[in-house]
This record gives sequence, C-alpha cells and structure tokens, in this order.
Amino acid sequence: MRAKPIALALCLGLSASGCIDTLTESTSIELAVQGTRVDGAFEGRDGVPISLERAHIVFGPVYLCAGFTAGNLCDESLAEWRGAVVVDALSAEPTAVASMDALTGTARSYMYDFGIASRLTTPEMPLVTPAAESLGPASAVVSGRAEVEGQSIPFTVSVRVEQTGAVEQGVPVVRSGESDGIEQEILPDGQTRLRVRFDPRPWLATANFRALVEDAACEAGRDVVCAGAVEQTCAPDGALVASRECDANGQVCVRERGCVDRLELGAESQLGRALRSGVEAGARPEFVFEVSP
Amino acid sequence: MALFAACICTSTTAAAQDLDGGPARTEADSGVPSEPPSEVDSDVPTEAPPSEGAPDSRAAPAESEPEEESPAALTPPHIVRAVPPEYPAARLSGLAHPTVVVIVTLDAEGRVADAQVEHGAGEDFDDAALRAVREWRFDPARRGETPTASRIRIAIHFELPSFDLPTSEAEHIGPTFDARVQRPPPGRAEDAPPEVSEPTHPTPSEDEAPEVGVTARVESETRVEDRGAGSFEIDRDILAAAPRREGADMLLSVPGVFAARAEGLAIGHRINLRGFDAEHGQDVELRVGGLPVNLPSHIHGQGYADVGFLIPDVVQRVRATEGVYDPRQSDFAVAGTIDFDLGVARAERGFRAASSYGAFNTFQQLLLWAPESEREATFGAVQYEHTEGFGQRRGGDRISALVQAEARSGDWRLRGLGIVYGARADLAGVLRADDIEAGRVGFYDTYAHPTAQSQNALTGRFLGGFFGTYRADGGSNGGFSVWVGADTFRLQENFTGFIQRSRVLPGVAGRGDLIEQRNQTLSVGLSGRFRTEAWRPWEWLAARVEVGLDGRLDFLEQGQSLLARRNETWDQRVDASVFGTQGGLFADLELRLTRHLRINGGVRGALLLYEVDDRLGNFAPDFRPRDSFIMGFRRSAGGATVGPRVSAEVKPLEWLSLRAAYGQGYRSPQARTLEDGERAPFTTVQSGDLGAVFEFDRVLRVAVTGYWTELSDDVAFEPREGRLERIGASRRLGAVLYAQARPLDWLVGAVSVTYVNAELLEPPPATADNPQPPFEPGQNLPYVPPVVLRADVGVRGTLVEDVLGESLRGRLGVGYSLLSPRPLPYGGFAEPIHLFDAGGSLAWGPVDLGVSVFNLLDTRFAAYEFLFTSNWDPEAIPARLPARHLAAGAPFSLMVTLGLST
Repeated sequence: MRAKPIALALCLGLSASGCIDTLTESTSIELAVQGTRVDGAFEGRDGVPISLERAHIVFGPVYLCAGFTAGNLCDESLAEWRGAVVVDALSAEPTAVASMDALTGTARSYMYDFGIASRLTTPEMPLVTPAAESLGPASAVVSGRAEVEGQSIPFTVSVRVEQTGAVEQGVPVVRSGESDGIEQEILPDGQTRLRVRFDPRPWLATANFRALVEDAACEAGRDVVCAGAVEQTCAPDGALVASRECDANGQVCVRERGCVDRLELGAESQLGRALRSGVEAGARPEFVFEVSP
Repeated sequence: MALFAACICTSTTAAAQDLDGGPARTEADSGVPSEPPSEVDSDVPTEAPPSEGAPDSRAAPAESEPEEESPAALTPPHIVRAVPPEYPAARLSGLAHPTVVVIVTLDAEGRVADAQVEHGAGEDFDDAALRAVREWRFDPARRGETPTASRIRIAIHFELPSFDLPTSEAEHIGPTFDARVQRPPPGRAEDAPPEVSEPTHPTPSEDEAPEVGVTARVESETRVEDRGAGSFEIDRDILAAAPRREGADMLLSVPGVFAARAEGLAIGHRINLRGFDAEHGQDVELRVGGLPVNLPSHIHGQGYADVGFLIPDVVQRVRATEGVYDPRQSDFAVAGTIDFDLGVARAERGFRAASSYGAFNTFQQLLLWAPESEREATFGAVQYEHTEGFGQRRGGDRISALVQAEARSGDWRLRGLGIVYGARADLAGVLRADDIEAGRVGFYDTYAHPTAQSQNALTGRFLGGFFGTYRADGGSNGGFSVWVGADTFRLQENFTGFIQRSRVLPGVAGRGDLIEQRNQTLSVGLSGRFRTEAWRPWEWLAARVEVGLDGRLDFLEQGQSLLARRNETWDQRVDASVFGTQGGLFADLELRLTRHLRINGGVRGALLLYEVDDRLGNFAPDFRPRDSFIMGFRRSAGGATVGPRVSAEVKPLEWLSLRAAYGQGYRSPQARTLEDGERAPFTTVQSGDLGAVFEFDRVLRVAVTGYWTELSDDVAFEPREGRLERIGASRRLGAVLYAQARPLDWLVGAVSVTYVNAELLEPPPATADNPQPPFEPGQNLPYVPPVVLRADVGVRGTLVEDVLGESLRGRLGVGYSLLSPRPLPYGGFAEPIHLFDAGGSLAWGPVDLGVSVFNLLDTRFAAYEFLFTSNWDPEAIPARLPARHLAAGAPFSLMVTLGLST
C-alpha cells in the first residue's frame, strides 16, 4: 500500500529531526563465560590441599536488573538470557554463549540460576534445562583430589542448586545485593559485552575433607573403620575381623566406607552441602563488562 | 445603536417574475424601500431598537427600465411580513453560515403558494429557510395596478451564530430578529433587474427569476462556543459519508482523534486526541445530548467513558472543542471536549427498520421512530447487535436504546433524554508480539490458558436527563438540567499471563493473572446558568455576562481481585466504596468591540470532596500482628481548583477569523489514591491555541491552529494492575489542519492532519520499589502518535428520477485513517495504522440496500500496543524483559444492510 511507506517516511523523518526522542532503547549484550585456570593444588579448609580435575557448573538463566538489589525488585529486567550453559570453570578461555536481550540503562544487580529454574506456576516441578540435564541432572559437578593425612582422596561431588523457599518461588536462586552489586551502563547497539568469570576454588572452601579420614580402631557399633589408609572390618562387639591396605590397590580409606576407588558424593553429603553453599552463597562469579569501541 | 459582532445576518434577496412574463421593475433599482416587516416571531424578541435599521428596514426593490413601464409596467412584490428563519438548533454551535436559495411562488394576493429550494445547504438549513419563507407575506407583484402572481428568488444567508448552551438546548434560543430590509450590496446578483414570469416550473432557472436584494438582520444572544481555532463541528453529511461499525466510530472524524475498541465489545474505546493518550476518556470530556459520560474514579481508569450506546442513525453531529477555553468545560476536559448531538433530520424522519448481516456472523437490528410532526430532537431508537467476532473470543451481544423528546412551553423549551445500554462480550486480551512472530499464537487468537480463555466483560448503563432553557425579553436567557446515571461494569482480563503473586495468601502465586474489576456507580447531577442581556454603553461595545454552576454526586462500589480457573479468587487488591461530591462555578464575560473583535474572559472553579472506605486498607499480614487492628482504612479528602479561560477573535474579513485562546483545565484525582486529609491534587492543564479559520459559506472551511498544552500529572496504563498510574508532568506542542469542503451539492469531503510532539517532563524518579521506571525526562510520551490523519469523502444523489414511480438514490463514501508509529516505553515503536473503510447504498422508495466494507485492504494492525513484562508460557523460564503486546484490530469485514423507511 502506498500510504504505509509515506507514513513510515514521515515518522522516520520526525525521528531523525529529533522530534521523537524515546531515550531508552532496545539493545543486546554479548554474553561469554569463562573459568579460571588452576594450576596445582590450592588450600581448602584447614589447609587441606585440593587439586581439581573437573569443575563444571551450569550458568543461567541470568537477568540484569536496574535496582540495587535483585530478587523481587527485578520483576522487570534490564537484560536477560533465558538459556543455560555448562561452564568449564577450569578453562580460562572465554566462551561466547548468547546474545542477551537488553534495554539501555544502568544495571545495578543481577540474578541467576544454575540451570534449574523455579516456576511460579508449579514450584514443585522446577524446570531443568538441557544443560543441567547433561550434568546428571545437576547444577555443578566437581572432581579432584584432596590431600589429607597422607592420603590423596579422589572425589566427585554433584549437586542440584534450586529454589526452595516457598515465598520465593519463581525467583532465581542467586540475587545480588547492594554489597555485591554491579554498576554498568548498558549501551545501545550492542556495544556492551558481558563476561562472567567463575573461579571454582572457593566452591569447596567449607568442605571438610579431614572428616573423611580417620585413624581409628574397631569399636562396638561400627562395621568399618579406617586406621589411616588401612581398612578394618569390625565385629558387632567391636572385635577386629579383618584389615587391608587400601593403597595397595590404589584405593583410599574413607571414613565409614573403607577402601574406595573414588569418593562419589551427592547433594546431601557434607561435601555436597559445602559445594552447594559455595556456589550459591559463597564467592560469586565476576561480572566483567566490556564496551566495544 | 448599531448592531455588530454578535449578529446573525439573514440576508434575503428576492427576485420577481410576474405570471405574464413581462419585464420587471423593482423598487430596489428606484431606491424606493419596501414595507418594513410587520411581524416577527414572538419567540425571538427584538434586541435592537427599531432605529438601528431605519435606513434599510425596508425592501430595496429594483428599478425598472422606464421605457418598459408601458403599457403594463410590472412592480415586483414587496415584503410586508418577514418571519426570520430559525438557525437550526444543531448548528448553533456551528461554524457554518451558508446561503440557501429558495424559489418562492406568490399568488395574486401576495401569499406564498409554493417554495422550493434551488440551492441548498443541508437539510436542516433548507428546512429552516422553507419554514420561514412560507410564513412571509408580500404585497403582490402588480402589472400596472393589477395584482398578479409572481415568482421570486430569495437567498437566505445564515450567519454564524454563537452558542449559549449545548446544542440541543441552544435550539431553544432563537435568534433575535431585527427586521430590516436592506438593499443588497452593489455588484451582487441581487442587483440585476428582476423579471417576472409565469411560474410554470417549480424551480425556474436564474434567467427566469433574477434576484433583488432584501436583507433582514437578526441578532442572537447566544454565546460563542468555538473559542479557539481548534473547535470543530462535524456534520452528519460527513459523519455519514464513510461507513461506521457503530456510533462511537464517528469519533474518528474529529481532527486529531483516533479511537479503537481495543479490548472488546463491552469495553470503551481507547481514544487519542491531539497528543493525549486519553485511554478510555481520562483526558476527554465526552457528552451525549448534554449528558456527561465520563465516570470519575472508575476502577478501569479515571474518567472511563464508554459511548458504545450511540446509534449512528441518531447522531446528528459531533462537536469537538480541542483545548480548554470555555468556562463550561469541566472535569476531564484536558485535551478537550467532544459533544454528540442527537436527533433525526427532517428528511430522515418517520419509522425505519434496518437489518444488517455480515462478517463473523454479525447481525444488527435497528428500529427507529422519529415522528414527522415532531422536532428534530424527538426520536426513539433501539439497536441490537450480536457477533461472533473476528478471531477467537470476540463474540458478544449488546443492546442500546435512546429516547429523546422535546417540547416548547411558552418561553421554555424542555427536553428529556434517556439512554439504556447493556453489553457482554468475550475478550481475546492481548498477545505478545514475539509469540505471534514465532507462530506460538495466531494474530487473531487468544492464549489457550484457562485464565486467558475466561476473559470477558459486561457493562450496563442508564443515563437520563431533563433539560430546560428559556429566553426572556431583552435577550437574557438561562437553563437548567438534572440528570441521573447508573453504571455497572465487570471485567475479567489477563494482561500479564503468569507473573502475579497473592498478597493475601502468602506463598500462592502463578495461578494466572486474570484480573477481575468491578465497578458500580450511581450518579446524580445538575447544572444551571444565566446569561444577561447585552449591556451597550457605547455603540461599538456590547457586553454580556454568563454565570453558571454544575454539580454531581457519585456513589461508587468497586473491587479488584485475581481469579483462577473455575472463578476461584486467589487475591484481593481493591474492595472499596467511594462517595464523591463535585461542584463547579463559572463566569464568562463576553465583549464585542465592533463586529471585528470579540473577547471572552472567564473563570471556572471546582470543589471536590471524597470519602473513601477502603476495606483492604492497612492490610499488612507479614508485618503486624493480626489481632492488633481490624483491616480497613476510611478516609476523606478534598480540594479546589480555579483557572482562567480567555479567548479573542479578530475578523478582519468576512471569511477570515483569527483566534487566540488560553485556558486552564483540570482532571479530578482517582479517589482511592488519596490519603486522609490530603488536599486533593487536581491534575491541571494549561493550553493555548493560535490559529485561523477561513470560511467560504458552506462550500469550504479551513482551520489551522498551533497549540501548546502542559499537564501537571500525566498517567499511563499499568498492565500489572490493569489501570492507570501517574507518570509525571508532560507537554505537547502541535498543529492541526482541518478542511471541510462541499463544492457540489452531492459531494462532501473533510480532511484533517494533526501533528504533535508530546514530551514527558518530570517522570517519577527511580525508587527502591521501582528501580527501573520506564519513563525518563525528555522522552516522548508512550502510545502517543505524532501524526494522525483522517479523510472522509462522500457523494450522494438521485441516480434515476423515476423508476416505477420512485426515484433511485445512491450514496458512496470512504474514510481513511492514518496513525503514525507511536513511541512505546523503552524505546520501541508501534506499527503505523492505516485503514480504509468504504460503503455505498441504493435507495428506492421506502427500501434501501447498503454495503459497508471495513478495513478494505485487510490491513493487519494492532488496535493498541503495550510494552510490559509478561509470561505466557508457565512451563518455560519466565521472561522479565518488557515485551511488545498488542490487541488485534478488526480485519476486512463486510456488512449488508436492508432498510425499510416510512
């Protein structure tokens, strides 16, 4: 129709002449994730050396907000990416993830999930993203070794991190506050880029690896005890039934378990709770904003 | 004392032909005056003393050629009694001063044997002219000394009058008649020597009946209502040019207006006027037949006004006063005031039944009765409509009945008007644009969720009023009105999908954001006014003062809840009673200094008082022990406002009017937002207009005006609550061009272009509760189209004079509306809207058959667009970024109408 281009031209002309000024604009933010290269071991709780072999975490969905605190005050976001990705937190190589839909303005807080999102409509059935499904489903999987009392304990911890608060259903798990907020102007035309950098070392900061080992002897009520790297099998009356050197088979002796090739732990374990606490409430990833020239 | 500016001039020019066809001689040519009028309409007392017109208060007959006087010189007829034509009531607001040329056949005794319109100016003007001249008496034409029959041409000129009341009342105020007969100005056709001929044809040609000039001057005490250049009157010929789905669509022809029924059949139109996104009427004062339509403190929006009850066949004209310059303009006259005048023109009177059927199984039935013996304002009409609606969930039914009767009693004119309206409809709600683009939902569909499929609305309304006007000797006049209204409104609509949380039931969320709004209003009101006769200290000055008052009481019950499927209430947001009292006083001084300058200066004050019983007040379950208080918050508040309204008009030329105006208006607050003892904050508006009106009789009228308005506190739609929220001060700068043309009797056209730059000045700053306000200082107001264009063109006439004894008449018309892209919050732009409607009909005898096509090009358009956060996929990760939402406009549709008129 002829009228349409005329109308558009008229209005574009008005816009170009400055007669129409809408200030806030739609834009986008290129989102990338990266981890942190960790060479060798680092100290965990009580000075326990920990070396990581795998640190995968699911990141997303993520929202940037205009308020100083996110959460309920971020009913309207300034930028969002409703997907999720598995981040190799040991790789320092940035990985482009997606383009976030955004509006121009100042972002002051953020909130995100670990691949498992609470739904307002069915809080009992959180939405598990494909990224989280690929991990088990899980939000984070960490593998490594902890050097404790002369033993090198291989471990793998897998956790789901999801919203559990009844009054916070539909709200992401991690919501920044004033102390850990951001202050970043989101520019038009996709000039603003965001890189989220994870460092897995703090994730296990509260993990008590020393509790995994012991130097004990059989006693009543215990089936298996570790005397250092030696597994002892106990009779109900506490008498020693048998013992074996775990390291002879390349194994480690873990409290209550005896000789194991590898410690596989879930969310309800002490390590699992520590990992969940570490990723959810511990050190947050770094939100690095860059502006394209 | 001379008459000047305020005069209506009725110019009567006469030409004479005698029955014998001999040469004519007129006294105009000889300079011999005719007899002065011996009688005037008793309803129209003479305001000017007789001396005013002394020099020209006699006929100005033409002079005959001396050599043609023998053997039987013809003397043309003389006027001995001239009853002034009554300016058509509905036109009293108007801007037209057309000329109607009437061919009058006189018998040998000087009585009017026949009168036919030779050149008309619309049915109401034609009727007025014919009614008047049939009462005239003449000294018959004479051949020699022998009286003879003759035919004369009389050109009756209607000068633009002024209002003193809404039109329907103003009709009562007939013009004061200064019965003078003048010689026509030189050079006009009236100077031509008349001829006298046998009236063998009902409407002889000009050659047969040249004119002589007679001028009767009439003065009105009616007031000026078109204060600025932004006052427009859209007559029925323009309103009826293009087809209308319903009476409210006539708003489209008002310059600067775009109106769309975006939400559904039972919800009022959303109206844009001159850069104001007036939502459902918050910024436009709407009146129908003098009855106020806007509902204060309505749950769905302040000033909610649904004119869905209008029946197109009884809307005679729409008058728009854009800007706030008349002290009579009251609450909600922020962008301006729009009046619908009701009535049925004489040519359309009688009984009419019309059935329409068309697209989407839409059926309409109209019954209209307008007794031919009664005045234009008297009629009764009822219209029923059933439709399944386009797309999904747009079906509904509605019925509207309007009854109006008018009568005279002495100096009083009394009128009663009653309106009953009811409608219920399913609603489709809004759709996310990205869902449409992704194919997740069809453009004309609705979401499948139960809370989307449950959207509907019901409305019912009664309005009744009784109006009286009187005119006293000397020109003073006054009037009163009393009215009562009752309204019920219930809406279930889901704008945001699944993002709401219950405030009453902690931990309950996501059950679907189906907002239920309920509003019931009982209103009573009255008005009165008095206008003095003219005070004339000097010949060049006339002054009049008008004072008036109006008031209303409103009792409101309203509530807002959230509903889940099976109508379970899972949250309660509003449960309140409101009692509002509103009173207004105004005074208006009119000064006319010579006929070239008019100044109006007035003031209007208003007082508002509210009592609110907020039964959910003090609800804070998480912070206070439940047993420390009983929920509820009763409060009262009040406030007053006063503002000037001034205007000036300079008429350097007969066809040119230069106008300037400034005024302050107001909008009352939403009562529930007031705190106890709060000085009720009026939203105030200042506006100014500067423009010119060019008018060439009824043939062409062009108005151009630039305007500025500044609003203290604008509001915008808040979808999460489904109502309006404050967004701060705003300013508009714009211009309007409007042209009406009637170049031929059978052709009428009108076009308007409105440009506006609407800017937000002081939006609310970011707060902890609202850290990301969607509005910033300096940004263009969301939803306001910078450009609005409208064009109407219509042709009508007789196609075949005689088909089986009846004439075959035809009508064609088109209407085009353009709405430029509108800025949305957060920087988006809504798509432009351009719509063509076309229609035509054929009428033969009592039967007519018409076809109406709407959205001829089948443009897929959004009747309204919003930008806000929603989540329509409860299974997906919720979106929190504001997104475009739209309500689909109607696609191509066709209606066929079969009518029977008697």
